Amino acid sequence: MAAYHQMGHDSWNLVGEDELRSYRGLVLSPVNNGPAEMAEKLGALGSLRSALDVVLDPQFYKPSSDRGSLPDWSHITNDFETADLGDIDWWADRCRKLLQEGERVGASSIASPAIIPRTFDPDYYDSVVACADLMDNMAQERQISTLVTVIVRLAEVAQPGFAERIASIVTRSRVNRVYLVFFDDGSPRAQRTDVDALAGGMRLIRTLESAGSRVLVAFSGLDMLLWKSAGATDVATGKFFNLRRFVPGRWDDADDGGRVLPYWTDDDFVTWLREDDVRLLLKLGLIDADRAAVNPFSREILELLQKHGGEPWVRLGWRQYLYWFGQREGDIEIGKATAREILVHADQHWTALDQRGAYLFERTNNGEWVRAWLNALLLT
Amino acid sequence: MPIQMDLADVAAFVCKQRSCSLIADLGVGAHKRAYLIEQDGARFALKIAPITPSLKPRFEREATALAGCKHPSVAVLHESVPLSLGGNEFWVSIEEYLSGGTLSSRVAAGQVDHALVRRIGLSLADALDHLRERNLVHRDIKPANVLFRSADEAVLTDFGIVRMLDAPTLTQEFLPQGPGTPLYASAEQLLNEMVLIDWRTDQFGLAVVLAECAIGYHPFTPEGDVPLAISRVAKRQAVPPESCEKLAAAGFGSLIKAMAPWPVQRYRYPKDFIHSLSVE
Repeated sequence: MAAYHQMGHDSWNLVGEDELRSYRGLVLSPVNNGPAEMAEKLGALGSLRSALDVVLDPQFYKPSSDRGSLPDWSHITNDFETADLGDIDWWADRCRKLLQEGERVGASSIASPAIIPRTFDPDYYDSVVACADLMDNMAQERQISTLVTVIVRLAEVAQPGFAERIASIVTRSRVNRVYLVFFDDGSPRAQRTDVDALAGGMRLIRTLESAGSRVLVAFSGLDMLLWKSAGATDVATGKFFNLRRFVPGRWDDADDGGRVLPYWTDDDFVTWLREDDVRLLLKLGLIDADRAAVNPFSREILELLQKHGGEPWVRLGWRQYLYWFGQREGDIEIGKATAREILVHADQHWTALDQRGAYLFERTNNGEWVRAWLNALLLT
Repeated sequence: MPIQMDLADVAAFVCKQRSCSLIADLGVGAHKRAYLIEQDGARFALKIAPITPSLKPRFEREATALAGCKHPSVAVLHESVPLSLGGNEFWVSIEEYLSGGTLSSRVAAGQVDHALVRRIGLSLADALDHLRERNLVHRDIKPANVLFRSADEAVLTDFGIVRMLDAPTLTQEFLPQGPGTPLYASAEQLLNEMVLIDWRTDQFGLAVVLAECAIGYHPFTPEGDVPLAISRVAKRQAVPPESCEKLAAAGFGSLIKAMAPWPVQRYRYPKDFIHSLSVE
């Protein structure tokens, strides 16, 4: 039903931009702002605030982390190493504080706290549900709703029955909104190509949605096409494309702020392209400038590239991607396009590139995921 | 040295203690023997079982669970206590006497028409909602545990293996199969997947009971092969197409979803099950 901004470093200026009005919600991270600052930023949205579903992701994934503004939040304590994480009373205290913080900043919903476990077994999901129900009980007195956070290692969901088993546990919860995080060890911008894992992830989404859960897939990227096709109601993404990668190393990385290279989001190839590859494809006639210009930020980027002035376009790249995400989310939602149609079209473009004997400068950008994704659609 | 005692003697002792009359022996269940007793013109079922270390917590749990229940389709428990007699330990419970007999005996007598099947389904599904609100899972729904208070007033009885979801489990994890009657058990029970047990486990059992009444055979075996039915459920197979067709033709197509292999594929809430069963 909606695209959500997965808020990252310095992302507030993107909220409410005219061209990004298709976004219906925000997923806030306490890493990026302290509670007072977050409340102020939400307040500054004015009338726009009431139109947005604001979800607070407590970022409990790695409890020992002290990144960014996390220490400013009362739900983050320094006893993680010594606490008995199996003690529901300890979690009750976290939930209580989290609700206080959520109320303080003005969040509409809170994703239940969940750690990344050593093993993703049914008992883990059972405890996740217990914690979500606990928080939901406490939230009854407040104007805040709960989402149950479900972290899934994508490789494991490839196992037969895993999706159904986990979905059976999750749907026991009284909470019927799910904040789904797919976890793997991939690197930024490397697309997922494990067909069985992708099909399993899609099956999980479909199973949850069929049982009446409303799923918000967090940290999505281009693979949003698959998640929407599986029936996910909501999908979230951020301006840093690598946000879609929910990998263990993400807590150890230095904040890379604006250091990222500009990337072009290409709808025809379903990929991200570096500038030299954009130029190559333009020369080969494999980027149709007129078609691309449907995205207003693509048009601006192309104008910059034509000037050959070497002007940076990182910020335009972020917006181009977010616009693409919002539009495609809507297209699939209303049936204007299907993931399969988009991917078949992309496969034809990668084939055309092969036939021209051309090679993208970014060696790993080879489109191999397109067929993997098409097959995942088939297997779901 | 404990004196060997007949359960009938224990029943006589209990009756004397409570100024009741012992009317009849009602038969024996898995662990308890039942007697019909009368006090001041009112009739009750007296149930007695020898206590073993493994059974005692189950009896205590049954008493605790039923003490919190009040629903027209859940048997009323008046008293449930341990009794020391002659150096022996017994568990004694006094329940309401359900004079209408069991569902299994009515099925055997051909006295269950489709209208009654639906009434039983709706009232027991409502009882499951009541149990769910209390975090209870019966885990042994079968025709022998469905009794009648009157001609068509079905009542769920025998909470001997009730699971309290907010209390530690009494089932060992290493066991290959969880407690319950295999013929009416869901896959998660047959495979002892304790973490998957919830009200939807009872939904499955109730649906199998209702389907069996509606089409005249266990829905997982049109062939009438009992081990095959259990094996199909344990392998998480769907209800065979032949049974689905017969259920739909009989106006009980709603039961197919309730017998889905995984809990998530069944009705999520009792109200959904009840609604689906009532609108057919």
